[in-house]
Amino acid sequence: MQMNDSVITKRRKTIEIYTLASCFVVAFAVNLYAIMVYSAPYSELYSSIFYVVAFALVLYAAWSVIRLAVYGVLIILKKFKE
Amino acid sequence: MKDRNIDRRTFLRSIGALGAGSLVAVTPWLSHKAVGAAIKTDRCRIGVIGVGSRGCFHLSLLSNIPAATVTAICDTYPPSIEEALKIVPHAKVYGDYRRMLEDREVDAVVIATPPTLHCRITCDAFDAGKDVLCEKCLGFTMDETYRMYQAYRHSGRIFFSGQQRLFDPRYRTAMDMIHSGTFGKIGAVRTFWYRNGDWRRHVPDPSLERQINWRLYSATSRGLMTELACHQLQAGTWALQKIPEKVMGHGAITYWKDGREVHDNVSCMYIFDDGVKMTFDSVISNKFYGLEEQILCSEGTVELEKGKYYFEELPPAPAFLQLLNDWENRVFDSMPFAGTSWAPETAQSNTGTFITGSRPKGDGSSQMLEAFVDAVITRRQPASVAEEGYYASQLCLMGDMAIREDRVVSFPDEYKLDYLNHKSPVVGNADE
Repeated sequence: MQMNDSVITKRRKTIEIYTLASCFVVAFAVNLYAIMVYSAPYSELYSSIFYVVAFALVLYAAWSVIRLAVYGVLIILKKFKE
Repeated sequence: MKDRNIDRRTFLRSIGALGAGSLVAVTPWLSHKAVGAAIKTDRCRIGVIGVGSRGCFHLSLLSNIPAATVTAICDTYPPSIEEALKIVPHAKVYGDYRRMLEDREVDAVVIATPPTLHCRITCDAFDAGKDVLCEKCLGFTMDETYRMYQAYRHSGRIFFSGQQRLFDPRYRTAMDMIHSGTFGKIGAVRTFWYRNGDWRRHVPDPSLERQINWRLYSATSRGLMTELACHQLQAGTWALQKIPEKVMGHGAITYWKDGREVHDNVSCMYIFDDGVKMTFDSVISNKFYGLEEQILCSEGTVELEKGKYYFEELPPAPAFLQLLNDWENRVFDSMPFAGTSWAPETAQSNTGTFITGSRPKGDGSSQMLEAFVDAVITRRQPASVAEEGYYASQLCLMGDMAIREDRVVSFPDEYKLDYLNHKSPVVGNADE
């Protein structure tokens, strides 16, 4: 069995970094919203940062699953048309 | 809630920040070193009467106190003497405590004999001009306990009982918090001590059964009430700062039916003048719950053995978690097949906070002996120590009386001291 080198393109890296950053921004915004809704101290912006990071990773993972599913469907459709 | 948290934090910070000077005020056993009082001698020469398991435990602790020297030991059981000499090889050995009391190289005695001997030895020790630390329970009867206290009062000597929790920093800090109202009003005190064991010691010869296993026979022991309840009831009255009016109880031998005469299963309920109740339960055929003194207050609970306190109302979870939890509840609540039982509970587990900031170590025994040595050297009897020991013993004996006579026992007026909510009927029986 022969292993091939995998190439992650610069474009892919950029997309993934932006995606992860977007997830973090969304999670941070959710925390800010929660603080306002529950009248919690704004120090929770920092003290809850681990929850925010964990939530961002969950969002990123969920988004990745969705993308993989979509790409999978597109590939199947493409092969079907051919 | 916030204010109370701040108060608590401030309080704990102040405890942590106490300098050596202020520490002396709450730790009387440090007075000799810190205050430089009128010191008669800088060493305390101690004789230990009764060097069984508890006596040897005291010997090992005393040997670590620089200001203390064990000059003599006394026991009638040779194997105990041999064990004790391994700890204090240079101590003189006596078989008769009266000879030890005549020894001029003994300033103070620690009495760790069975309780039937406490009164006689303690009174003789005071007569001989010795200071006394007597293990609990002080007397074998309420009258003996009273006579021991009177002997102390008339002797002017130092008198401690084996209530080591009085000297445990965890207990002292907790009591300061309770008395300052940190946890609100005390509604009840629950104490229990559960073990799973027959309480027997190995007997090399059947003729020694009653001498070695004296705890199991009614002629020499009141059983669980005097051996275990003493510590826990004292913690309860210390928290409440009052003495109960009456007690009811029940005891039985339910498991260890091996010829013993004392109960292996007891429950007592002590009732205070305002209706507050303090319970003591002990069973020695199950150890799942161990031992604990629980002070149940309107705003919190203190578990003294664990060294923890718990506030009734917990601070809310971080807003982020509350939001996620609410979303989760909405999702599950809306599922028609699931119903509300699928919604996760939102209650937080209340894990409590350590009273001294960390897991407790020891039970105050070493601090108690240090305090005793210090008191002997400085000739200063710490406030309340004798009285707390006196009432702890009397309450145990009252509970035992209630169990044995199957009746409600009120605290007899003739044994009341001028202490806390009690008023002595005898003029000149005052302490405070």
